[in-house]
Amino acid sequence: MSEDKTPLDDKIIEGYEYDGITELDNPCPNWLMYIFYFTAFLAVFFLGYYFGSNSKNKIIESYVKKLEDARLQQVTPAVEQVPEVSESELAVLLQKPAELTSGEEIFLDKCALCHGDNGEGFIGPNLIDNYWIHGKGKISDIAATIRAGVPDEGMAAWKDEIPEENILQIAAYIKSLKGTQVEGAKEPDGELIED
Amino acid sequence: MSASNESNPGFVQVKYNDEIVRMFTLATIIWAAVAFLVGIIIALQMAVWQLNFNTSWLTFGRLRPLHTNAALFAFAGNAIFAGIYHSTQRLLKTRLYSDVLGKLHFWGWQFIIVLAAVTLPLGLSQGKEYAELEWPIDIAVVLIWVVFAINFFGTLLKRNEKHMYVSIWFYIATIITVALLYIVNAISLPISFFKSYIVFAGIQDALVQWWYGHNAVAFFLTTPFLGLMYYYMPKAANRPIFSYRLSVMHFWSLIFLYIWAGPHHLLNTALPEWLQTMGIVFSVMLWAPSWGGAVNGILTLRGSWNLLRTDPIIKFLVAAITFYAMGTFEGPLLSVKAVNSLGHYTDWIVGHVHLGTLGWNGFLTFAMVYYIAPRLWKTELYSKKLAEIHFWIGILGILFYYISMLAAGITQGLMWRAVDANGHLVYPDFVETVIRIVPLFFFRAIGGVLFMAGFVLLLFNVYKTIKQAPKDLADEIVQVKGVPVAVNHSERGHRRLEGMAAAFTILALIAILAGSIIEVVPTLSISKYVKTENKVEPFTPLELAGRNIYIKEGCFTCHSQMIRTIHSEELRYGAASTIEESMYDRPFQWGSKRTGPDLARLGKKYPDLWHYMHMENPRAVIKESIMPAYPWLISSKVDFGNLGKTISLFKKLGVPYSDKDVAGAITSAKTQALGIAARLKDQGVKEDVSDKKIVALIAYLQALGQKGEK
Repeated sequence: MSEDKTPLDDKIIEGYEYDGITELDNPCPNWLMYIFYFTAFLAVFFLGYYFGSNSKNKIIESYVKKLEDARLQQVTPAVEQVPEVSESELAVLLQKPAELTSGEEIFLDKCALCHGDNGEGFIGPNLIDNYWIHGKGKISDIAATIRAGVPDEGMAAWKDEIPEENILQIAAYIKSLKGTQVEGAKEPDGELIED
Repeated sequence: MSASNESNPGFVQVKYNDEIVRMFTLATIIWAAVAFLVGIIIALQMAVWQLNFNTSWLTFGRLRPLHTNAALFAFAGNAIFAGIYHSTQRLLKTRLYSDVLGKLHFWGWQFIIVLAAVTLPLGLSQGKEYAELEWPIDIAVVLIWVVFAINFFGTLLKRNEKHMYVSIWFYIATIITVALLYIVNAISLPISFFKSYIVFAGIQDALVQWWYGHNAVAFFLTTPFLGLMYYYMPKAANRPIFSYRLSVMHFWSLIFLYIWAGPHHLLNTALPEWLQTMGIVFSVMLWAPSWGGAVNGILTLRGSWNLLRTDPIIKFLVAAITFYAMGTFEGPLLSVKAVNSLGHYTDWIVGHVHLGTLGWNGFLTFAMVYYIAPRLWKTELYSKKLAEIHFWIGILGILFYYISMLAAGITQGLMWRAVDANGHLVYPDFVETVIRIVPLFFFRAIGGVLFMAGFVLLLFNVYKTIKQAPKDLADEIVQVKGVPVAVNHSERGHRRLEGMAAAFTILALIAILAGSIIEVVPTLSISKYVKTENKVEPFTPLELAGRNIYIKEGCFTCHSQMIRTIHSEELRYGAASTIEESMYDRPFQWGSKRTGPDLARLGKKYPDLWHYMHMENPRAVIKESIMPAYPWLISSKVDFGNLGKTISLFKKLGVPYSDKDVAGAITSAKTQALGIAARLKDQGVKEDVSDKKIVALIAYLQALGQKGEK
């Protein structure tokens, strides 16, 4: 050890040397000890907070509360309270190309995987004929199926992923497909609905 | 190998076993090359899915365990053994207890690594992270570890140095704790030579796994390397250790506190709240004890800062300690529940881990290799300049790696939780959040390549150094004063303890047992936490066969099955997962990373055909998916042979199967498979897949989240 380079306040502990390694008699740095005391204080405080209260499970309680808060903060009402819109009001959408184009875009993104790019059906049933498995083929029926899905048959519920406004656009777009002819379309399934 | 020295009475001549150190050093750098290379391959696979090559044994899910096991057991393991054998003999002034055991240790360990390198790509996996190796290899690991322990403690007992230096304390803590962790976490019951099931289920398994997993970091990647740092730092700098008192303080606080922190890997999950709370507070308290080691290492350089400019070994050591300090600050930070809710399951954690492994373990090992190579091959280092270049390229690589992963993790974490004013997820499509960070996967891969490039310079440098070594590599001989290892009653406190190896070891054992027992033992009676009124159906035989495929393919490396108690997770995945839902899961599959979405409630979300097409080619149903394709699941047959044994074993372990279930396991599986295959046929699948793996996997995926009470 080159003593000359040792800072003045450093004192080597005599009598203990390991393969040439010696140790200095410095104390633990204060700032490090303060960090330790600080974290230990936090720990005690936190333990007291969790174990000292009557609450059985703070995690679940705060989780449930957060879910409720989130629902209260929603600007649009939850799906359960979707306003009733009459079929004639919805049919107006069919006359608005912009709405249908928007519906088509989302359809291609979310629905086409199972129902085909042109609604001809694939994993899911075709959407272009007069046969309907769920509902009577009205725009409101289609929208309801999109919202709630058909979990037992593999159709996802989309209400949390697609805003209500867009669901109606998709439903209108699907309605607009009725009667189109697509080569290789899936055979009809469900109940024949005559207009 | 000591004999009394006639010319110098009172002194003995000690000849160190340097051969074993050279062997482990070479093994370290050879396996490092493998671990790093596989790391680069899987990093590139995440950036470019085509690099999975539609080949089972080259797919990410199988190579990722190979990478982690190689980095942990092969690279870090061999480095630890090299450093411990090198420094321990010198610190205790005695030759290794047994040369034969040393050789057995070396070859046994390399054999285990080769077995791991063969079985993991084949998909033989227990499905627990860093503990994937199947039971026969587990037994071999334990046996070889015992050989190592005998050799170490044997050396300790015949030491010629009365006091044990701080490095030795860390080695003792390492050896006893790793043995305990590894054995407990591997308690499984085999049903065949290649397949076993862990005895712990669900939450118990989660807790034991992360008690193990977290402390693998603590006692395999931290304590032994701190021991090495305490030897190589003062040796390389030729300076005294900054503070003996700090050594004592931070050693005991570190090993005592570390063992409690495991539950921080399970925050906001279904783990009981008191355990999460313990995990948080002990992780936060680890900050100062961890920094104690860093401070003691860095301040040892006081008065010799100039070495930082001139000596590449010192550069590597100081950078390693700095990365250690960064990682041990980030660790407590990530253990805070709010931060954890953002970072968990993202690449931030991957970045955090690599800050430690590349920066701390990697750089410390490189320093050690540059220190050992010229000394044990009795020559000069071939090129100091190359070592300098290695250092700077390595630093650049780590920074690329860490910064890109930090950015990816935080970006994705924020996207996952983004909710708009209407209460809808802003990014409801999971794949959107993946596509956003794919560019960062490229940056990460560049980081890996840079780190590897620096390492290639080390390989070359060491090769050239050994090339110029003299033919005769005789073991180093020293004259040491034979000190009787007796208790000195005039000594007080810790100094006295340092002379008492057995007492020291027992105290260290008590320190690490305290947290282990208090946290793990209560959960072993699962009934305490499970509400019995919530009935959960166990999986059907076919679903279990599918679950085995899920584990074999390493799906858990990218998919979690644990919806946390977080609002945005409820929106994305459904109600938070409960303890009951995974109560029969052996092993638990809560996961630790979401490269793909959580699957806890995947069942019935999509039709069977969707899964069929998705496994055959994920791009067929999700255009931008980066998931590998699994075509072999459609072409290869599912094995029902062990289902009876499996169900019978589970029944013994308390899963509510009847004798009829055991007897009819295979029939039941076949019937269910025919049903799914028929449905697939209806939906347009041409070939009959009723005896193929895909059917079992679909059965399992469709059952996820469907077993609890509605």
